Amino acid sequence: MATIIFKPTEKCNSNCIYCDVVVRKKPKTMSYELLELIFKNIDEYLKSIPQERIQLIWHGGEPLLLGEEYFQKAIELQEKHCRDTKHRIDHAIQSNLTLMNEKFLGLFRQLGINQVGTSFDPIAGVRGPGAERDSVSYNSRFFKGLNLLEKHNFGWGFIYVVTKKSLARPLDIFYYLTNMKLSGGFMLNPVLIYGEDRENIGITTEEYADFLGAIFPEWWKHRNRFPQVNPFKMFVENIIEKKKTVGCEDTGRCAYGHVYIGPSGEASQCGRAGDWEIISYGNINERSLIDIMKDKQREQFIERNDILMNGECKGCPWWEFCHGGCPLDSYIKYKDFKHRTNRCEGKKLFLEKYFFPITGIRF
Amino acid sequence: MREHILVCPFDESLLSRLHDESLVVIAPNFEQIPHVYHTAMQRSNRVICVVVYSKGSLAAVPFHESWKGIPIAIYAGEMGPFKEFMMRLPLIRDLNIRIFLNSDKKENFTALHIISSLHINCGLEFGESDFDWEALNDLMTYALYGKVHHGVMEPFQFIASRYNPERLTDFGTVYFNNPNIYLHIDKDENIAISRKDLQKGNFIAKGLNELNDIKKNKKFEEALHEWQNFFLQNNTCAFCPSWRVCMGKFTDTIERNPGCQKFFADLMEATDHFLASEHKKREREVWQL
Repeated sequence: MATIIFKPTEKCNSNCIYCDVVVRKKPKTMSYELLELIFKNIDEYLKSIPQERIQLIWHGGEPLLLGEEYFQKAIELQEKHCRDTKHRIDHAIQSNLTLMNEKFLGLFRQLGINQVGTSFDPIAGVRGPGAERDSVSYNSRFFKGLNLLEKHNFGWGFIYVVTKKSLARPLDIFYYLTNMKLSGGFMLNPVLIYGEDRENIGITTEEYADFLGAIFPEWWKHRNRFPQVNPFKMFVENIIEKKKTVGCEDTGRCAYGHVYIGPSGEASQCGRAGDWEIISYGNINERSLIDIMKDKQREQFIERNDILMNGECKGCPWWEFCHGGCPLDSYIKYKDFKHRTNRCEGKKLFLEKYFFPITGIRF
Repeated sequence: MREHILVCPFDESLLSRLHDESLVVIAPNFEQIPHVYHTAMQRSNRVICVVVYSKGSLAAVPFHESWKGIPIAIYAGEMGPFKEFMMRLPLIRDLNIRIFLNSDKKENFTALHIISSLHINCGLEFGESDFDWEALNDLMTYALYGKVHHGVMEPFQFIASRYNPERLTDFGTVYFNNPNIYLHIDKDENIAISRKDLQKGNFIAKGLNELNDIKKNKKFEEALHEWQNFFLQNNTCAFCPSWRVCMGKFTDTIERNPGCQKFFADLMEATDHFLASEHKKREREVWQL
């Protein structure tokens, strides 16, 4: 399945401490004409590969700022241009929920969306609008959005971004999040900083490992209470259950599976690559999705696997569920994709210092 | 039939307006239990139970043959003379009854231990005064770990048996305080979330017609999501490992009478143990088939 990280708007009603898109860019919104072109391209792409599916992830900015009419238009355009292929388009959405209403949910149902991805942070001043990041009013609206989702039987999951502000209270944060979503259903991700750390929130890979390590004994002991907490669940699935359920950054297969399309039609490898303007695959106004998906630059991600397997990662026991990590991590440090992730040492540290001793399992 | 169970006083006029409802009927006294039950049933209602709130002792309760088959909850102030109670034991054991004693009296903890050991279903009602968390822990340990057969004890049994990691376990249900299940109504058809709210005049709606549309009622919706205020205010309880079975019920006394967090952590361990042993029991049953 191909994944389109689809960012029809960069506008956002929040000023999250770890996101600099709104600050760095002059936020744009995709026109209806361009939206129509996207659906034409999707149809063409799917017709060219009869067994293929596309996951279209609505991202932002805050996609609900587009308004209900925009999603209505998307439904109409999909009907118009993807009549024969629409059953092979799986829509998904990432939203901060603060603008959620029943009309949106009705439209999402029409697009086949039955769960929504979001983000949350209980720490004051991390997420919220304005310079002050008014998290009180923000969180209140977030919970109203959640209530609507649950009332209408939408599933939801979320990402928690670990920043310097999180480091003092790992277990408190873990309990808060698992109390809010009882079985888990969230991912603890390290904050990613590209360029200047304006807010002084960056953490080292070791700090991230220790943050996870402070939580892991409790999670492991009571994993039946909150089974869906990642990355712990993924580690267990990979190491103990021998499944290969890794995130996009660890698959080693992102080369031809992902594309980012921004509000002006600009195409890149993924959301991060697009936000940080690291890789350009041109513009959907000038190139077809078929061409973009075959862009020659993608070969470097395939080559990277060979380079790492025979170089930095040679003999590494965790290659199968890491593949050197996200190529963009390499870019941050070396300005090329030929190196393993800078988070590698942190992952190893977590496994050696916490995972193996606590579980008693050796890889 | 509506989704909610209505908790109402015994009032013939009100009962005649309530048809095909699931009811918890509060009887004004013990003597009227059969009359209350049969009157409510005659109005085509399903009676979940008849409740009697009494400040007197359990020993003074006039348990009667005519109560047989009637689901009854008795809230009493204390146990009273043990001998009196024991004399009625054979009859009490034949009744479909659950006895609640209040935590305000220290000796009620021991009394509940005794009542449970006599195979009578019982429960602790949390009162206004601070109580000893250790004593509560002892009671819970007996209720959930006790190997010798005994009557179930609430709210421990409710939490252990209803616990579901996917959902909040609201033990307020034991006391008819859970807006997902119960609504309270008085003879004038004022509707409230709890008995306390009803007594204080904190109504969310008035009239049976409004009950029909209760899901659209803003105050009702707020009550359903009231627990989220703990999270919005970053209340200590939102960070508690045992939130899911407590839901901040002791937040007002946590500074004055700490100990809830440890107690509920132990209760959750006991719940894990309880569920594991229930699972084993089921496994054994299958094997013996």
